[in-house]
This record gives sequence, C-alpha cells and structure tokens, in this order.
Amino acid sequence: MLFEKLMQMNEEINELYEKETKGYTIALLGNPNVGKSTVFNGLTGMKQHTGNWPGKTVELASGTFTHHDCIHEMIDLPGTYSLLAHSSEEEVARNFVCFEKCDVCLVVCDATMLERNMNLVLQTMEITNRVVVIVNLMDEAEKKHIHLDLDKLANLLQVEVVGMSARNGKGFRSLKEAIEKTAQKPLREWCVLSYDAQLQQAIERLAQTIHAPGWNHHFLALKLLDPQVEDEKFYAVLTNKEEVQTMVRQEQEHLKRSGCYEQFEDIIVNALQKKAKMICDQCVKIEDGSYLEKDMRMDRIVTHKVWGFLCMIVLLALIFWITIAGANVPSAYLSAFFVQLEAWLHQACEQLHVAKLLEGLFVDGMVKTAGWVIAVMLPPMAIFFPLFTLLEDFGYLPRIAFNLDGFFQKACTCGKQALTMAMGFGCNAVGVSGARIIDSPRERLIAILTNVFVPCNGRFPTLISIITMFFAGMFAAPWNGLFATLLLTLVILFGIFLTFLVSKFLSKTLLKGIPSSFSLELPPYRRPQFGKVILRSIFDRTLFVLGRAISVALPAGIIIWLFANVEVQGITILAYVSGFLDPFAKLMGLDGVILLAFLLGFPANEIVVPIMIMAYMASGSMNDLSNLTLLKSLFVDHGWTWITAICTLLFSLVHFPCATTLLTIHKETQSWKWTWLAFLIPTILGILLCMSVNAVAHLILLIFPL
Amino acid sequence: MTLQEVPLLTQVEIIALHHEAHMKRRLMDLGFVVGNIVEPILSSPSKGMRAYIVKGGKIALRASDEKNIEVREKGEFRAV
Repeated sequence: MLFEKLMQMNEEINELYEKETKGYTIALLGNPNVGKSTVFNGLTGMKQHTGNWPGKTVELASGTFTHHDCIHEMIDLPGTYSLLAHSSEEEVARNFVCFEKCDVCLVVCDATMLERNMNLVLQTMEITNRVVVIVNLMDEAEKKHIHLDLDKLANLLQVEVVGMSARNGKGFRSLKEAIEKTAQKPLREWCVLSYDAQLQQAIERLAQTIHAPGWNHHFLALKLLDPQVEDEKFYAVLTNKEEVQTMVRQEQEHLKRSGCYEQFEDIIVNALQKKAKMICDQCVKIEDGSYLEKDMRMDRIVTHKVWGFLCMIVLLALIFWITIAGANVPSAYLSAFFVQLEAWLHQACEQLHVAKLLEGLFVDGMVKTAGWVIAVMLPPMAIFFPLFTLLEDFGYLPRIAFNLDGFFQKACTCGKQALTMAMGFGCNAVGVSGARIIDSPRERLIAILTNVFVPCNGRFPTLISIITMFFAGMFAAPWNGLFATLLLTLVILFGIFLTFLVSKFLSKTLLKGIPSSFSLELPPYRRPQFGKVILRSIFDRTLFVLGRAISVALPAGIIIWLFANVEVQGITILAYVSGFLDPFAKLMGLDGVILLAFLLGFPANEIVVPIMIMAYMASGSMNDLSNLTLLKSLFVDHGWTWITAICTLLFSLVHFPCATTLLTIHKETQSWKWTWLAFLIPTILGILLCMSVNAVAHLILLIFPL
Repeated sequence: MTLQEVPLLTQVEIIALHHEAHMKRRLMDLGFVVGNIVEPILSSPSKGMRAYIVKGGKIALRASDEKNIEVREKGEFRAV
C-alpha cells in the first residue's frame, strides 16, 4: 500500500515538474532603436545593455522569465527593418521566426513611428499569426501629442496589441497576459496582403499545390517565387517538393513575361507600405506636426559647422576631465589599501615562516600587480563608462557619425566607423566586434584594423600617469588636472587623425574601393535613465576590472616577479632581456625596460606601467606606488627625459593590439592574414613614429641645448 | 529633380528610386517609397551627407544616394 502510494506521489511530482518547466519559446523582433532590449531586460532581468543608436544588438541574447509557474524562454533577435533577408541580421531574424520553434513572436514598435514599424509587423504576421504587437515608447508619443487607438489596431490586425512604456516599467503585466492568450491561438488566418494582380494570381495558383502542414501556403508560395530568396530551406518543409518545383518554374516564366519578375521585391515592399499606411491612417492621429521641433533645435546646434565640432571636442575633453579628476581620490585610497595589505601579508608570511621565494612571488608579484590594476584602473573605468553610456543612451553618438561622415568619405570608409571608434574607447575588442554594424566587408575590415589607434580603458592609466608625472606637474592643482586633460585630449585627437590617415592609406592600397552607400538613422533624443545606467555601469565595470585583475594581472605578476628575481649567471632574466632590447629601444627614444614592458603587456595593456615599475625597482626599493612624484623620480633615476615620456606616450597609442583584441579580430575576419596585418601595421607605424620623434627631438636639443 | 537639389526645409514627393537593388530595399524599408513625402532638414558640417524627415523618423543619406532619388514638389495633401 505504502509503496503504491509512493509511486503515485512520484508520478504526480514528475507531472508537476513537466508542467512547471514547459514554457513557451518567445522571439523578440523590432526595428533598431525602439526599446526592444529594454523590453527584454524588463522581462528577463538580464543586464544586456541598451544603447540608443542603430545596430547595437549584434548577437542573439536569450533569457528566461516566469509567469503562472511556467518558465518561458525569450530570444532577443537583432534589430531589423524588414525580414526580406538582405543583410545577415535580417537573415538571422527571418530564419529564426520561420524555422525555429517559436510559440509567440513579439514585435516591438515605436509609438512615434508606427507606420514604418508596421512593415515588420505585417511581414511577421505573414509567417505566423501568433504575434503580439508591442507599441513601446507610449510616454514619448504622449509628449509629442500623438494619439494611438490601440483597440482599433488590434481589431484591424486581429492580434493582441499591448501599449508599453518599457523604460518606465509600464505594460509588462498586460504583455505577459497577451503572450499567454496568443500562445493558445490556433495556427491559421495569417495576414494576407494583396499584391499586383499578376503576382497575386501566381501566388494563389502555387499556394493551392503546396502541401506543408502548419505553414501559411501563401507565404511559402511568395518565398519560392522570389528570385532573391535561397529556397532550399523553404523547399525542405514541403511534402511534395518536386511537384511544387515544376509549378514554381512555370509561374516564374509567366511572371518574367509579364514583367513582374525583375520588380518582384519592389512589388512586395509597395504592397506592405500600402497596407501599413492604410492601417496607421485609421489608428494614429498626430495633433500637430511640430513635435519634431525640440529635437531640431538641438540638432541644429550639434551639427553646426562651428558649434557642432566645438561641441564634440568639448564633450570629449569634459568626459576625460571628469574621469581624471574624479579618479584621483578613489585611486589614492585604493593604493593606500593595497600598500597596507602588502605590509600585512609580509608580516603574516614572516610569522608563518613562509619561504622567501613564495613570499616574493605571492606578495610582491601577484598582489602588487593586481593591486595596481585595481587601484589605477577601477576608478577611471567606473567613471568613464557610466558617462559614456549616458551619452549613448541620450542618442548623441549617431550625430557624431553624421558630423564626421564627410571625412570618412574622403578616407573612403563608412561614417559608422565613428561609432566603432567610440566603442573602442571602452575596449578595443568591443570596438572590433561592433564593426558588424558596417555593411560593406571592405569598410568593416578597415574599421577593424584601425580600431587600435583609439586608446582603450586599459591604456588610459598609462597615458594619464605619464602625462601627469612629466607634464602636468609643472602647474599647481587644479590647473594641473585641466592641463593633463588637454594633453590627453590632444593625444586622442592624434589617434583619431592617425585613424583617418591609415584608413585612407588602406583604401588606396590593400583594401581598394570606393565609398559605399549607407543610411544612418538619427534617433530622437531620449532622457537617459540616470540612476539605472550609472548603477548598472559601475557594477558591470567593477566586476570586469576585478575579473581582469584576477585573470590577467595575477599570472602576469608571477611572471614579472620571476623575470625580475631569477638569476641566470648573475643577471636576472629581466636585466638580460631588457639589456638585449636596449640598443633598439634607444633608437625609438625608449629603453630596454620600457620596450620589454610593452611586449610583456601583450595580454593586457594595463600592466605595462607596473612592469616598468617592478623592473626599475628590482635594482632599488620603493613602497608607495600611488605617489606620482616618487614614481617620477624612480623613472628619472633610470634615465627618463621628456623625450622618453613623449615616445612612450606615442608607442602606447600606436602599437600592436592586446591579445583579446587580436583574438576578436581573428574571430571576426576568419583570416590569419588580416590578424597578422592587424598586429604588424600599428607596430611598424609606432616604431617609425617613435624613431622620427626621437630623432627630431634630439635635433632640436642640439640646436637649442636645454 | 533629384533629392540632392532640394533646399533645406522644403517638402517634396518621391517619384522614383534609381539605386541598385540592395540599397533600394534598405531605403524603401526606411520610408523612401514612391509617393511618400520627405523633407531635408540638416546638412553635415563635413559635407557629403544630409538628414531627412521621412515617415516620422530622421534618416541621413550620402550625396551619392541623394542623387539617385527623383522628386517633385509636394502636392496639396500633407501626409506625415
């Protein structure tokens, strides 16, 4: 009796488990910039970033959410304007909706631009009728006095329509209910568009011969007749492939004769636009057309011949100034903390009678290097990234691309490169993978190869510390902070200038070509969610830096300490290698230690300065790394002059990309040739630049001895 | 006339698109369709690009693409 009862309970538990985990698979579609990722984050709670410029989501993200005790899976598809599959993003989106098992498709629309978004809705509804239309940014529409009759829209489309203001958290409950309702809908009654008579008849005839259970036959007929669609995937769902293939060829001949064949996709798009217009004319009422005025005023200033550029440079300088000035105090505190930590660890090692070798390795190698990385990199990153993200969310970045496109055209590349460069400021690897927003492969490659000329967050500490030590020290605070900012801005402007130069050079030699066509959307300005962005950004960045400190700085610290303390025939490995590199380095205005530091900094740029410090200190002793005056005297004691400082700055700006970036380049280009070039071009350029500057500087010294 | 010749802040109606297929599709997706109204509003300070209001959104195009869009002066009806 008991045994049977137990078995019964086991069955019931299994059933409950099945029910609980069997949720829906939900696809999320929408134009770029409509707040799709906000909806995604809101439902799944994931920390996928939402930037306000087109093309941000370049990879599929998936997450889960629970409703009525079911765990549903949600896939965030790339933002696309249509499903007619001409770009890789459109193909990914279309293939997912057609061929993956989706229970419900959510199409997110911008309430202020419904007609244009309707294009995607109608195309999705041709494939499946289990669609929920999300009209997002309702708060924006209200501010702009655009009235939407959502009930009418639901009636016309025969689907659930949910009005939302995702960034204010409104509408999620209705959305979950709409998803539930839609998933139970029977699969029939797809959206039917009326095309040109000839095409319509061909579709009708073909649709009748198609056998494909669960599919919209009209949609299949449309795809099979379309000369621009790769049809194997669609043929695969048919049960009578050969029969249909013959019919398809017949119909295509008909269409060729009537002249519809060449204009095939034009006809489709026209029909979609007509229907979209008809629907929106009934549901959308714009009270007065001047809602674009406020944005216009901003845009007129931001794209002005003079004010526009001034704005860009000032904004750049401002962000850097806040980063540098704001990072000083936290950096000092963190440094002091780590000095204390090291002292305490040394004491502990003494008491525990730890071997000197291990003590050195652990405390002076690992902890010291990790300590530097955290103290020097965390505060600037925790300030820069949130600021930059706020700018992104505001919608300013596409305006930068708009302003600079003329220059990019002269360099024969794409204005969107400005956006990849902006990404590169955070991390070069991110800038490289972000180059996917550029359609033309040639221009994408140029953006990838030149991304290294924009200094990433890992190189900022190197640049900032050298500038502060050697150049800004001349002034008293707060002017020295201002001066340091100006110099940093200058260095970065030089990097940008180099980007244009090298891009132009590549366009004329290795990657010949002419500027291509492209379109750039200027999204409406949106007030960023300050609190959320800042908190999330600081949290993300802190985790990232700590992660890097552990994964890169700790092992690097071990290697450096070994190099500096293991002696072969009386000389440390460090001294040996740096001595070997010294003559060549001197030509570049550097010295063996600096060059070695750059080489060892290949895994991550932020450890370059700690390596230099440690190498110099191997023949001296210094405990307080945070005091830049002491640091400067350490450098000067080893032969540094202002020339050395300039050349180090230059080489830091122009040298090989870090290991992570190179790996990303290989992943994006799938080619060893281009990865090697990505390594060689900036290195050779950097070496030549340093040599020239060094030569010129010495020449000046000869003429005007200081 | 072509879109490139239209002065700023003048509304015009599109009568033809002469681009190659890929760009034509992209433009049509964005709202540049025969019969729609567009209005140039901004000109890039580095020359070579202008921004338009089309179907409630702002899209910027390069001069080489503007040249291929044929337009005429707006009729009586104002459609946004």
